[in-house]
Amino acid sequence: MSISKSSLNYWVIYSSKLGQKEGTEHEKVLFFYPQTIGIGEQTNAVGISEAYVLFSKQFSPEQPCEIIHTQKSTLSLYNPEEDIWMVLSVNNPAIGTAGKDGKGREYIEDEINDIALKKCVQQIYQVWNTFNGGINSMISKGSTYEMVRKRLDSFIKPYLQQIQFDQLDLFSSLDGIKFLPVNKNIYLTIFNYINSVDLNFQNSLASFRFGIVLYKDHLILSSLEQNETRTLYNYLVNMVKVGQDPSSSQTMMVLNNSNNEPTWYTKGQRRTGFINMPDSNSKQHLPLVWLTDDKPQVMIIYEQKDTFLLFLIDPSDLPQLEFDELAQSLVQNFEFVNPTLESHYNKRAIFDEQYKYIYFNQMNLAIKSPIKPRGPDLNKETMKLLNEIHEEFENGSSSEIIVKTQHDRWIVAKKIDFREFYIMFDNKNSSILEINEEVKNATNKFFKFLFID
Amino acid sequence: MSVEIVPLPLRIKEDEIFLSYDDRLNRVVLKSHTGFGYVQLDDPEATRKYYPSDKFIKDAKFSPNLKYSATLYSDCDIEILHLENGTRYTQSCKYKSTKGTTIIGFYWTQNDNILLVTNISLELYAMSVDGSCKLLWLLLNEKSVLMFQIKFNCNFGVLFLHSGGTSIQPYFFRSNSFDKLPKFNIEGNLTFNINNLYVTKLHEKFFCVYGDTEYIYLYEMTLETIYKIKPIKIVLPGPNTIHFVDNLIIVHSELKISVVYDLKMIQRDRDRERDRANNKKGQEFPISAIPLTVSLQNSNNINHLIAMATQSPHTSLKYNKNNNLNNNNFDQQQQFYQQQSLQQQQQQQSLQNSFENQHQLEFQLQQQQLLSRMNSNLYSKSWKYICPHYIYDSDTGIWFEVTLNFEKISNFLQFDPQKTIPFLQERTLPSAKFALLALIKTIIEFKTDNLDGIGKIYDDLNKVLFKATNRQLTESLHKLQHSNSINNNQSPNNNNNNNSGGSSLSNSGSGINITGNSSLNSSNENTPTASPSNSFIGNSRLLNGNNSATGNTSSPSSNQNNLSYLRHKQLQQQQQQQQQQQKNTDTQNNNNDEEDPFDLIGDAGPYHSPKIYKSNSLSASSPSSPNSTISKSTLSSSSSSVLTSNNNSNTPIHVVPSRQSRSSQYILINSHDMYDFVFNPIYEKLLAESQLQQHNQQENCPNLDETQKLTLDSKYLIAIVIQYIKSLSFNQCTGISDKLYNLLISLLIDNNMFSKLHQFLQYYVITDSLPIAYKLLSIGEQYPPVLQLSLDMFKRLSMPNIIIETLLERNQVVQAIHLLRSTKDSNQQLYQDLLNPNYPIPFLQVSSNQNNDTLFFSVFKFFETNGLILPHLPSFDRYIKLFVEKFTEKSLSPQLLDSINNLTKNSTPKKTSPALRSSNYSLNNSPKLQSSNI
Repeated sequence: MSISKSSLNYWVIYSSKLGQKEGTEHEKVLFFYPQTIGIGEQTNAVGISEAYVLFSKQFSPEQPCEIIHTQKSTLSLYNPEEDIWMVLSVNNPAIGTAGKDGKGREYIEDEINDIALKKCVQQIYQVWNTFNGGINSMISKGSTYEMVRKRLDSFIKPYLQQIQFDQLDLFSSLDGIKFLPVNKNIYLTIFNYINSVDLNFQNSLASFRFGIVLYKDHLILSSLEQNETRTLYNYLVNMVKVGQDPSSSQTMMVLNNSNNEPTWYTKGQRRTGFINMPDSNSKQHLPLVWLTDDKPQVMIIYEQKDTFLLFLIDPSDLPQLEFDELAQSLVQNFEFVNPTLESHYNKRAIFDEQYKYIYFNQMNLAIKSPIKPRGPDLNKETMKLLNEIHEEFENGSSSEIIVKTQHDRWIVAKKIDFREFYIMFDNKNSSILEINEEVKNATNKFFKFLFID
Repeated sequence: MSVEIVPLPLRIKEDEIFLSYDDRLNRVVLKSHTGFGYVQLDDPEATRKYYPSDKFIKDAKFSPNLKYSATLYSDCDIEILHLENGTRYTQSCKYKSTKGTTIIGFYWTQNDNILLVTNISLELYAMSVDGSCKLLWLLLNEKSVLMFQIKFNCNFGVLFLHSGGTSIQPYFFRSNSFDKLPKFNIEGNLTFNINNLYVTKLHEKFFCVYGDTEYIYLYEMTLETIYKIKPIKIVLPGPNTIHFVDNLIIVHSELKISVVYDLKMIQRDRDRERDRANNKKGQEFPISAIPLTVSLQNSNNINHLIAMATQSPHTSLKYNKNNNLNNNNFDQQQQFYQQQSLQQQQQQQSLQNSFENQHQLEFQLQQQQLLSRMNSNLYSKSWKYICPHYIYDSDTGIWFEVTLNFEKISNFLQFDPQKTIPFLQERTLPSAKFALLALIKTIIEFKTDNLDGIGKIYDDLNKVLFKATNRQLTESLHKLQHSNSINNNQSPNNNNNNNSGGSSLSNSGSGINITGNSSLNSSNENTPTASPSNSFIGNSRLLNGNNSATGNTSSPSSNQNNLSYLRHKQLQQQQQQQQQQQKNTDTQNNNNDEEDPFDLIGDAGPYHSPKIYKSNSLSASSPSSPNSTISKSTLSSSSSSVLTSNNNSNTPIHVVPSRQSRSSQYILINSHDMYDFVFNPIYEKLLAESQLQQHNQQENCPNLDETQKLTLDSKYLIAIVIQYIKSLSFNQCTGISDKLYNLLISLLIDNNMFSKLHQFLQYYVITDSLPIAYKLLSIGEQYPPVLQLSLDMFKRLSMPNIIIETLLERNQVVQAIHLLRSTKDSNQQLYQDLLNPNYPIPFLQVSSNQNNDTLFFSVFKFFETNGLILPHLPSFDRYIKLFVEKFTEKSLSPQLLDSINNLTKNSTPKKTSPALRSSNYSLNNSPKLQSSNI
């Protein structure tokens, strides 16, 4: 019996404003994937999602419909801008092969987690928005829909292709930030380096400002807003894959092509210097980013060993920026702290060796876990359970859940105010009381300095 | 920077003759027709203590403990008077019979050692119990009788013997013995004049200084050797006198200029020149060279002098009062207001009493006259320069103290911050501290240095701060252990008591000893208390020094009039260590004296703050208890309040403290100072500017002048403050001011930099403290994530009550009860402290308001099972009724039901004792009640 995994059914971006006249509905489509599907079916997909929205509006005028479960697929609808809709349809996993009559194939309808799916759509939009700005604002700035279609096609397609729709786990739903646990002195030292670089360059270039510092895939410092930090962190860690060996995994990085449009490139070998600027004479390749304020800024990423520093500058100030000078002042400072950061990075807490847990704090988006995403500790069953518990927490209905899985694994999850804590035990023969005791020990250790009840 | 003279309250009357100044006792020795006596130099009342004598006194000296006096009345005899019982004893010099023998000097070298110097011999005598003298040692002079010259410095116990030629033989005296120090040769172009020979301590080293008209010769002295230092060429050659203030050399030239030299800076300059291989023989640059000025800072003294001159004690007292109002104000603004109010008062008074006003004017006139007279009389021929830094005007009888004003130091010479800051750091006068703070403020405000440069300045400050606090710590620990071991030796039986722990010093002292390492760690953590309290004391003393004339009876120094200096010192110590027994401190002091005699030659009593620390370490021996944290915070807050009341204005003040409050310690700048005098003033300026800008925008006014505008913004200030915190942290300085963090938080909030604030808290950049936790709690509404951090901090501070209150406010009853329960499990004491009879009421209230019967039921049941529902209290009535209404009486526990029934039966309400839980009414836990019901 063959099992098919969940996979992309289709992805569409459409503008409900377009194609109002009968017979021109296909004009609504701004981007459709896979493009093998004919225009008729594309229009149908748009039509059905419009119908869903219109229909469900009767019951919930304030909040439009977000998720639709059908037998064969699960749909997520997202309305990021006025009139702009994004629909992701994912095939439900199925067991067996379909006969000619369509029977004999069993679909698992509750396999795909709503929150994870919603998050996935949002992230696709976020990446688009960060590097291109809003679709409506592009139109208002004089782009034609044809240009937008072209841009969407070149930008979204490569991104979409690398998403593994069967791997939407708790980590992707939480979308947290890993912080490097450094002590106060190191933090302050780095902070001061940054400050002095910042102040130094701001004397001549007022718009120059520091963004974030990462060591490998851990964040150390950010002077951006939380959501901006999250977006850029996500881009650096999940796309550019900073801190990972570039040869082992597919890296993707946005650079401006010769037409000044953001395009995906692969990041080259590890090196020291400005990673999104192939050589010192290619300032025009630096991509623009749109953060919360609606003004695009040039993003400069500098790599020094495993430390990544991100700076932002107004495009008008870019020609005056002396990259050599910037690089020099960074090299000076960070060569000195890099070894310390490395030792902090490699130092694993005893706690991490002892327990399998995931900790997430909504307030600072901090995530902490010794479990590797998509690793062996996170089998399908656990992944699904964790997703479900998280959903339960999101609905605010529960604060503590203890589950024993089919494979005799205990999963205990707690939600305390804005903190979520998931912990797993693989001791088969323990009773619930013993597990409760274990959890108490673990939380006492973990939350020694934090308030939890 | 200028050299100033401050008039002292003492004025030698016409019928008095000045004999000598005793540096060790800080007293001026006088004689009159009827006898001899002394007066304390900075006693505001200038009270004389006279001893009658019928002999013609040539000179008089007092022993260091003021037990004996010695008077010289003939060439060969001195009379020793036992001051306490009045017995007199005459001692003649050994070679009285030899013709021509005269006593040329006599000195008390120790409390009961007197040295007689005649032109042919040195004789050291010890006082015996019966009041007579016993000869200890005799030295005969073999050389020419006439060339015999001596100089004795009682403060350091060093005698310089010059017997012709250029060679000098120093002797160092200790109790009942002496050391012969190495002989050395004095250079100099003119004939040797012993009056130009000085002994002083510069930066903890002993120097013999000799000045002639062109050079200052310096000889560093130790017990074994004499090092000659390259002489300093005087900038203005000519006859001069040398004074020493604050480790600086001041040369008063006859050309009416006072030149200041810093030996350390000169040496640094010389080293630098040597490095550069620059052999140019340059003149040593003085720090400053300008004429003396009369300081008005202590105009109390002037008033006093006028009052003395007019000889009308009535008016003097009255005007002193009025003038004190002005003098004690450091804050200009405050001063302004007070002057206004004073004027108002005066206006009111003037209607009633115009006579007084007249007097006032007259008085002010006199004051001005006196001042102008002093100013015109500078460097007068009648001036006597008295070592180390006093001037006595023999014409007017007025005494001055020479001091330094470090204001505007950066205006002088080629000063750059790299030089100025170390120079100021090596000073001990508070004026230097304010000058240094002002300098740092200027550097920050006008961005004269970049962030790294400022960081280096911070590091310099904090390195010194850490060393100083660390030294105090080790000293105090050492002393604790020392005194402890003495206690144990003295009373071995005490050991049993020690283990049980008690309130007496010996017990608490050994308690610390037993815990050994761990106590060391805990006391390290407790340094926060030590350093603020340190500064607190320092400042309050400083205040007292100025207030001493105001009759502030609560301050210890106001009593100084009635007490001798030594006793006064003891009193201060006593107050600093209330938990300690006086006896113990005495033994400690004695031990001290035996430690290293040469080190303590000039034991002018450096102020040892560790003693305060000691009391802190004792009180904070249980750091986890909430009381200690509270006391910690109140302590620091009170210290800061003193600081701010001391000086709210940003202008540095020049304060001349009384002599007692001075210490030989270099100035220290801690985070409290930085906050009060640097960061906060800048922050307030920023705030004022932004308000002004808003105002201007509303009014459509043109923008501010570029000159008025500050060159910095809050982002820069944040960077500066963070740099400072980093420096403190790197240099392991503890006791960081809460207000500094408070400022940082305010700055971040003002600029909407919440995520940065979050990171600072996350990385523990901001140290936990109660005020900060409360501040975060208050921000919680503006930026909810901080609320979480605030609660975390309260947890670390062991204050569950605040968390519970907050949770209840947010209707999170279940979480609140969870916390209450876990507190009960983990910390019984804390739990008991939380509870009061009405404690469950807010829980019940919140749960009943939520339309959730299950919740209300669970909450009620929780308190019921814990025996906390007290039906006899009227506040519970409503909830018991509500519970019965909803879930019927059957749901109540039988015990509770019984007690309710009992209550309704004996409807006469019993008077309940306040200690309810322990009384019979505590329901479940009281077997007595149950049995009676059965």
